[in-house]
Amino acid sequence: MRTFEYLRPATVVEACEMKAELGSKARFIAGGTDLMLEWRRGAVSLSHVVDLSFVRDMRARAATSTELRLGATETLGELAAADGDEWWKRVLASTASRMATPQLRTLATIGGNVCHASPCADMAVLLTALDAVVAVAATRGARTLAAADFFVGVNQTALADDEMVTWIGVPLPAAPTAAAYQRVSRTSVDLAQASAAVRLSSDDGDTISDARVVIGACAPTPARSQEAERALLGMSLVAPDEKALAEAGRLAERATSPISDVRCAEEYRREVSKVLVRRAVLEAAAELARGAAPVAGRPRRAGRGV
Amino acid sequence: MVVRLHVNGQRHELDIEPHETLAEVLRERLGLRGVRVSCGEGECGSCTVLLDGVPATSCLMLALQAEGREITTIEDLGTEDDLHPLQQAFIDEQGFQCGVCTPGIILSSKALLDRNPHPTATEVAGALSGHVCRCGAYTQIVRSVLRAAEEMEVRGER
Amino acid sequence: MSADKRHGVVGTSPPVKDAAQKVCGTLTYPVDFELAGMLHGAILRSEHPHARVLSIDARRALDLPGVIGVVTHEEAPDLEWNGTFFNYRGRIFDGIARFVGDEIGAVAATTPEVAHEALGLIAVEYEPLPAVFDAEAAMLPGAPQVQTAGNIREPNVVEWGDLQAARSAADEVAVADVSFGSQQMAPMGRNAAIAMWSGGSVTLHTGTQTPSEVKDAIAEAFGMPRSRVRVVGLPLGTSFGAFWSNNFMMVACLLARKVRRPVKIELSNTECMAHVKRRHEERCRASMGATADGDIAFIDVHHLFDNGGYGFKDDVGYLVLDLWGARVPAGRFVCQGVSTNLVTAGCMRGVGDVTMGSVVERLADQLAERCGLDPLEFRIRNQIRPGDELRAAWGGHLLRHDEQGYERLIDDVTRQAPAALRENWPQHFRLSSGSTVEMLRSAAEEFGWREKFVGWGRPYFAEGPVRRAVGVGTGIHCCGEEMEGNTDATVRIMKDGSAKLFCSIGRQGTCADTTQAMVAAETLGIPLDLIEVEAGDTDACPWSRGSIASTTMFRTGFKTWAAALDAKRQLLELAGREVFDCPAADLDIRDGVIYTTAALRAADSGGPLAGGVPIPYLMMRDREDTFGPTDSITGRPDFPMPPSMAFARHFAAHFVDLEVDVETGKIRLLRYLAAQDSGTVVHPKVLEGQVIGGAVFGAGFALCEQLHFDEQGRVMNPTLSDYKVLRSTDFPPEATVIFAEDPEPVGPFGARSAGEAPTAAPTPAIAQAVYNAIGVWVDVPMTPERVLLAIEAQRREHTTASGGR
Repeated sequence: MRTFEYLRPATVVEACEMKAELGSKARFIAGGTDLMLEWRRGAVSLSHVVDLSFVRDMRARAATSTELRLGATETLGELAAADGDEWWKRVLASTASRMATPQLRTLATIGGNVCHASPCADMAVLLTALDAVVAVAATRGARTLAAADFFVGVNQTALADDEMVTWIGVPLPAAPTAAAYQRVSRTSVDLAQASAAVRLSSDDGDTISDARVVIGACAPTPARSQEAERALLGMSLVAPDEKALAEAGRLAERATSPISDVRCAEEYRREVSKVLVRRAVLEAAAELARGAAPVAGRPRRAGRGV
Repeated sequence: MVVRLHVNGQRHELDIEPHETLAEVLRERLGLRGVRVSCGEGECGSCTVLLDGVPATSCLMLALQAEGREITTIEDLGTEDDLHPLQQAFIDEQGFQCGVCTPGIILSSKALLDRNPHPTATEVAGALSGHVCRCGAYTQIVRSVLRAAEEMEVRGER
Repeated sequence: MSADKRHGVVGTSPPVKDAAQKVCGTLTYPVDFELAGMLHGAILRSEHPHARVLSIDARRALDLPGVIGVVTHEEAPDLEWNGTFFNYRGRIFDGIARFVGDEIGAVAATTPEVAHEALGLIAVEYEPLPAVFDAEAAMLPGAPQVQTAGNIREPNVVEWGDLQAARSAADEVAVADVSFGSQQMAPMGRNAAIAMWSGGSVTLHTGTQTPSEVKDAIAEAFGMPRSRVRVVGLPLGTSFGAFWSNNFMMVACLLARKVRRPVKIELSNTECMAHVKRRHEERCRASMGATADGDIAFIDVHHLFDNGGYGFKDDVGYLVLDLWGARVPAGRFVCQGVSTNLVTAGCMRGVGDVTMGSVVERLADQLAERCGLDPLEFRIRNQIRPGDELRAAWGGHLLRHDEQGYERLIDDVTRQAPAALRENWPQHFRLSSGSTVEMLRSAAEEFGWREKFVGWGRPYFAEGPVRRAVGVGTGIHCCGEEMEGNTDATVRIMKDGSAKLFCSIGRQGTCADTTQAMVAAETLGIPLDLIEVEAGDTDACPWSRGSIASTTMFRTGFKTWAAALDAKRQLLELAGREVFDCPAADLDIRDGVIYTTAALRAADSGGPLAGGVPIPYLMMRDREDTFGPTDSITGRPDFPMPPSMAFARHFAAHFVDLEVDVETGKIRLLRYLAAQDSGTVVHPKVLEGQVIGGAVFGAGFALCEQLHFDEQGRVMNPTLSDYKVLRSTDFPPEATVIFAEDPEPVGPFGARSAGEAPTAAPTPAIAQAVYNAIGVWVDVPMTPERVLLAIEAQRREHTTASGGR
């Protein structure tokens, strides 16, 4: 009979030891929504599953003034329900709430989404734009990787056989910051055909001083474009320059290598990714212009009428 | 291996294979056929159960992963002799056709009304986006939930 | 039976019979059904689109612990079986695979897991054969032949008038060439077939829209008498044409016969979506001409569709011919089916009218624009009205009123009904009732059409990338048809005054058992609560066509009414003879109690209601002729139903307000109003469900549903993650339904049928609204990508036209 062994570590240390011992025969499972689907379809064979959903120290979320740490097994549902004014809470919640279905979000985890590393993975794209670091643990030691280094290819990460993701760190810039995530899909519940995640900061409250532009579902991994980011520097928040926006979209699209698949053709991805970059920039810029979110722990700037 | 599940207020200790999903265990071993498996891939929502009151897909989740959680299926909500207001509202508004998606939808509706007792039609539709009703009864489903919300308000119930 | 009779239960919305079971999750569907001692079957399916099986070696499978038996073409009877409406023709197994996933063999084992594992242990040697994947290629000389009778079916042709002359006379002509991919039923709840033999007799439990025809198919497939076949139709998830008579049902019977134990074959979701059935792939080349005033001068349609591996159809339902062609002086509709090495294609909700109908609607809209008429005006001006002549052919039978023999035959049939009942019955070959005209007017007002329609190709709102516009589309379908078989029903009145209705219908969510019971209750005067329905057991129900082609309310309802009338007649004759000492004509029944009509009249004018004899009293008292009680009374129709195709249609008019994002191509439906004319509405909430359900189904076809095949004929998207269907967040949650109730003289209490026209109307409504929003006609499915491509194509055309500026 086709089955597998089930192991349930209570701590990260235990989980690492199990993985070190069993190697590639063992796979981690948290929500299981990707892995169990593949196993049922016969696309993967398993000798052991190591269930991380009972490891309590992997679920917690913590924020300081400079960094947000998301537990790897925090569910998308918990993230979608995150309530608060902080810019990062808003964009993480709004992105999570557009993924999969409410019932799947109850089970699916951020870590799982990131480790499955689908080219369309919404969290992966957003976290890349947020300059996230992925904290990885193994019996032989822990390390952190930048998101860009973590995602290596289609369903491929830089995780070694004995490693697991424990938390994801999102740096919180000192300057006022906002981020937005735009996606397009065929129906309301669907993988993204194309997506764009943008993070903007503004030192002076009027212009963009720092930008991250990442396109999703248009390359094997989230595709960041530093050229597009440079094109946005200095752009006005309240009167965004259409030429700069168009240029940013064009440059960002150049960093992608989309394919045609059953969801849509390459040409559509090329066209629409530019549109999504523009819209994500406008959305983040408008939020910044409103001065909507004070950075956690810092008082609002006085006298700016915001 | 042994799994301990808390289902509809009752404790069960079952000897299962590790690969068995929660849906399979609920249906085959506990006879709870109101947990329906249609697409079997987490898309359609007909396998929806409540885990600690929150809607969850049961056709992909391992039964072992549900240990320590309160599992609620449609069978716990009401019986044919003692219907929950939501079930009565679905009957009165004809909020179903073939009935396959109905138990899952009613459970998700219960979870919605628990956290938002006065939803708008749009909020109801949003909360049910994880359910495919191939019969297309969405309009009457939304109406049923809104009616139940009113009823439950009047009765002071949740 | 006129529609102005005061109704008791007809027109109300009581809880449907299985409501409590559905909301409590206690209804047993085929996948839930079990028999003691049953084994589990799994089907071995071909990996090749076209191949001969050279050898099958099941020895390793048979060695697997838990495997009880295997069947292949070597055990299968060498007999072809035919499905309903030519939706299938083939042998259970014949050693030839005709599509990827075709049934080659099957295994029975103690558990489903063992059965599936065993499939992998069966060694099959195939000789791949050349395969053909589209209808046009399959028509070419030298094309691989899929069916032994060849690929090409006889064309189905309807023509009238002088097409040549009409073409020259037309002031405006519009032309279209539209191809349609396959829609997939994507059934919820899947299906299963549980077969059990007892001696030489077989019982099959399964989900089907046509229990009687499954019985016929089994008898034919096994060469056995029908008296030894029993089919029990179980409550079913959605079907939409997927589950009529299907080969997996035959396979279950064959496997159960081999192992001499009950066998259950449960279909996986992928099997349901890729290996059972789908809508045809179709190509419609059509032209329509009009005078400058906007009168349609001619319609010329050439429609090609594929039958897949086992379909044998020569037409699709194209009642659009009546909707648009009734007042047109000349026309030609040619329809032709061709086999291909893709999964079997066949009838699916709204067959033909969803596809061909949408093309005719587009041509009409294009002509309307050119003639300066708005969409409502053009439809009201040109569409069929009651009394107009019908043209629709069915299965090659051309209905022409100048064919004397056919008309006389129909008149003979009609005259068998009592004169008193048929005084308002229609003249044949003319539409008896219903149309889009009144419906369009009142629905347009309810919708606020005038305020929002600002001209062809012009959005009422444009800001940034957003364009908003409205559109209207109309649809039609038949109310069942009688070629190849009729409907039937019997009613049994029990000693205690309760009753049971036996009518073989589908149980796939239409709640037809309740609405049929309502017809019986209304006719008999017995409370609905006392009437139960047996809908699926062929041992209990008389042979009947089943729930296809929008048959149930109209044709089965007619027989239910007639059976109930007969039961009532027997009751009243008995009562008159035994208790009241008066003719049956002086008696009537109300709430299960028999009264004289005089007593009822007195009560209706305000007096007390007296002198009633409850039915149980009548039944239980000793009779003068037999000295004993009346154990039961069986009512059956004693006159036939006139052929529905000769006069009955149902109609839909759908209005949509939508938004197009011209930068992403995304369409968002903002508001939806569905108007329906199905005559008298028997159960408003159930009918509303059918109408909105049809609208959602049709909107899915319009926006996002399509099966994709790879170059080997394999379905590339057999799961819901890539075959997209609409969700609660994709369709306006407060859609409106309004009914136009043009009463039908023949149907029960003025009712006609309902299920399929609402699936045909959404596509033209949405396509027109998109045209009005962005000025481009987009082919379905109108995915964001296709909309964007259409916008860009038009932009390039304009740039070219304006000299490359």
